[in-house]
Amino acid sequence: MGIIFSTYRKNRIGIRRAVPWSFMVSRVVTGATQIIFPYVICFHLMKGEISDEFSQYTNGADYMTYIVLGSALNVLAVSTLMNVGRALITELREGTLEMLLLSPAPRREYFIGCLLEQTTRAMLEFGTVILLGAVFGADLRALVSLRALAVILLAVCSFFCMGLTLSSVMLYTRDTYITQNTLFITMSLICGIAYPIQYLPGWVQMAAQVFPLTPAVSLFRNVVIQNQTLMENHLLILQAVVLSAVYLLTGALWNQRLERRMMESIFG
Amino acid sequence: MKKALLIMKAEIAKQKQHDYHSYFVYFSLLIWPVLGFLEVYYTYKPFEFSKYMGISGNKGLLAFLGTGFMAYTCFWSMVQNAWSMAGQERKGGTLEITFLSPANRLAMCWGRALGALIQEVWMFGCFCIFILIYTGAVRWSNLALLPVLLVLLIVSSAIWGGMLNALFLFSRDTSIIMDLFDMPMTLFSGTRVPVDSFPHWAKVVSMAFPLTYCINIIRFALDIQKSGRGWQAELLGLLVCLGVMVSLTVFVIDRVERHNRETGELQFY
Repeated sequence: MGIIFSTYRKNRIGIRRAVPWSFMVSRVVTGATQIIFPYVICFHLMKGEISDEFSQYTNGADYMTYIVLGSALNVLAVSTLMNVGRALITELREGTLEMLLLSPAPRREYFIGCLLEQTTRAMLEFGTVILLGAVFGADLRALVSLRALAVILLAVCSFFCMGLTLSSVMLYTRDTYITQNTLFITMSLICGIAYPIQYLPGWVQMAAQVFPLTPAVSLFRNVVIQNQTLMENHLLILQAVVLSAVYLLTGALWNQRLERRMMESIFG
Repeated sequence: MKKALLIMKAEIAKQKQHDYHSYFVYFSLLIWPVLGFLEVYYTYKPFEFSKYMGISGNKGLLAFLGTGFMAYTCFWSMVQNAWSMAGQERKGGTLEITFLSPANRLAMCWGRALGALIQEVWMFGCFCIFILIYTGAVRWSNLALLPVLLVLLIVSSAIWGGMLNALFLFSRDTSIIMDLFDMPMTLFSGTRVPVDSFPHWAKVVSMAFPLTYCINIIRFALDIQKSGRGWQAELLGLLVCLGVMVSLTVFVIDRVERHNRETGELQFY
């Protein structure tokens, strides 16, 4: 437990001292832009003319609510993946990885500390999206429920597991820029954030199922918009859990092997 | 003048060596704009085009988004380059050294932005082929305009990138500049949504970005956007905008350097 909180404190102090402005403002601005673009298209350009296809794909969901829920979850996914995925390689670049590897602290708790620090920050962004969405007319009353909270927790958990695998990929390729941008652009394209994935070709829809964001986002929408219970969506939950388990296992095993090799290759 | 060009050339060469280290980089240059473009295209899918709204139908939408995206990516790549370079130099400890050299500061800032030159030319080429095949917006009559448009884009995006790069000298907390300038630019400059459909306050905001004028001129030249002020007015707006930016860049660099001489630091807080 101690390691979790010391990691939390370490990361938070670093951010507050080095980049205090980006810490607050970036989150709020990125959250806001996620919503404004679809809003402008919907109400200023198209005057709210939604096609029948959309209502058919989404069971008659309100467009703004649909978008706000998608963006909110996407924001959580991006920041969790970004922070957990980049944790080790940032240590490597700043020259503190060696200390981390030498210390007796298990990596598991280190990562959970990163997640905790990151999630409290991401909630700022999440909150902006939700608040602004509510201002723009999204119906988010069902968000204040135990069910919705459970879905958010499940989603963050699955993003965390994927972040572990991402961390190995980044450490293996020694690259963050290309990996992260490709991943995030792909995710927002195919996971059904701003539109139902039924518009995409069939094989892309299949490929989208590999990302935990896809089941998480449809689960979130089913619960908040359609007011469904968790039991009705057990298949989506199962998918998210299985994906998380696979990513967790891959990430943990790969990380272990990488660390062993790194001891020889980096500091040798 | 010759020295300034040499500095820019050196900056471009430096960045090429630094960034283009593997085939994946070239791959990503191709794949990101395409993916981003597709995402925006699909965002329009839930709506129906019942009447003319600045965009006419599906083909018009592709041409509209294509031009918008190309121009935006040029600006974005300049900023991104300036940003990552500023960060790298700061972390690597070479930023101070560049300030010890007698090199022209303005040329240095623009050179850093121009590191994305290859990417821009590449993007422009890809886009032209795309437009040529899908929408037929490029014809023999405006083929000669394409190089002019490319030069226009490169010059204005370099000045924009240079200004942001000068701002990056203020602090290491730079991603905020990125967020404050880059995100609103995508929204307000008409990359994805016609500016005509905006409320009035948003139209005023859009006039602050050089990208708005660039996009309008490009769309006008390719006959994609019919309404608007005409290219002369847009060009005038662009020139005024770029003039303001150049003077701001000079002012900022001057401030930064004076601060640097007094305190030996390259950050204000």
